[in-house]
Amino acid sequence: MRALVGLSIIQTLLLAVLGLKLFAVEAQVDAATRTGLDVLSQTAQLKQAGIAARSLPTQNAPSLTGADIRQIIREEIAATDSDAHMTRTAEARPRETASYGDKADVQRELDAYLARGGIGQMEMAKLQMSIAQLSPAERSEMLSKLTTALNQGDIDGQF
Amino acid sequence: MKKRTAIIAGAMTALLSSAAFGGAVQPFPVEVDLVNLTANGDMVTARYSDNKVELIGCGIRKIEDGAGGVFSFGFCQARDADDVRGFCNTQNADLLDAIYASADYGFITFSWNEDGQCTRIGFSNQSFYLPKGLDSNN
Repeated sequence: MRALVGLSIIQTLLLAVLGLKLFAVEAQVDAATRTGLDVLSQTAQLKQAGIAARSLPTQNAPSLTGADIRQIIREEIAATDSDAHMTRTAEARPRETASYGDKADVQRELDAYLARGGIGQMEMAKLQMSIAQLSPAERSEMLSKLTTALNQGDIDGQF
Repeated sequence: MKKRTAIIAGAMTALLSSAAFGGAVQPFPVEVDLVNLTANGDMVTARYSDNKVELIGCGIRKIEDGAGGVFSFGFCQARDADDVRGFCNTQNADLLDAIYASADYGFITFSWNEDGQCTRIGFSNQSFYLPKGLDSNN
């Protein structure tokens, strides 16, 4: 019974604290809303009076001149351009520096089978994997050499 | 007289049983023409030919290229009873599609150029290319 009474008291106290916090938050929201409305009202008045926004006074922010705003815009544009350039460079890099296999190595591999006059199924699979590592143009070239060798009977084997 | 009747009846039964059932059959042994760079043949006839060399078929290889991509190429190959061989390879997307469209037991025809690249790939899936011994759907 005592425990229940104790819990009820604690619950009541917590509710009271939450209520106070709620009032405090509402007061802050009201103050912020009033400030915002004041600023909007002043802006509208200044625009009507033909006064530039550079002289817009605010409660907490320092006033900015037109030159300051132009400088900020220039810096932001420069930063955006720099980011875009870096992104483009990063995208282009893999193509520029993509490392393909060495065609000479694949040619030597093929030459060995040509010298022997035959290629087994496992060797054919290995050769095809080597060809796959080459640049697209070199793949076509080596596949053509392999196919021609098979057609001419220089290599006994199958794909 | 009874003997002659029995022989005639037996002969007629044999004729009817061999000719009437099973549908049309059109075996196409593998041919490789090195003048026109073309090969034809059906897979079942090649597989059950009375030699150890005849073959025909097409396939596709997909291999990682080591740079995050996959290198795909297709090929066809044929060898006739006289051991004449024809091979071709292709990276052409349409010809690869043709190979994907192949099926078991079919007729295959393909052509190639001097570089060994496939210039034509065709398949034909017909009842008369099916092997004996498949379950009937009757």
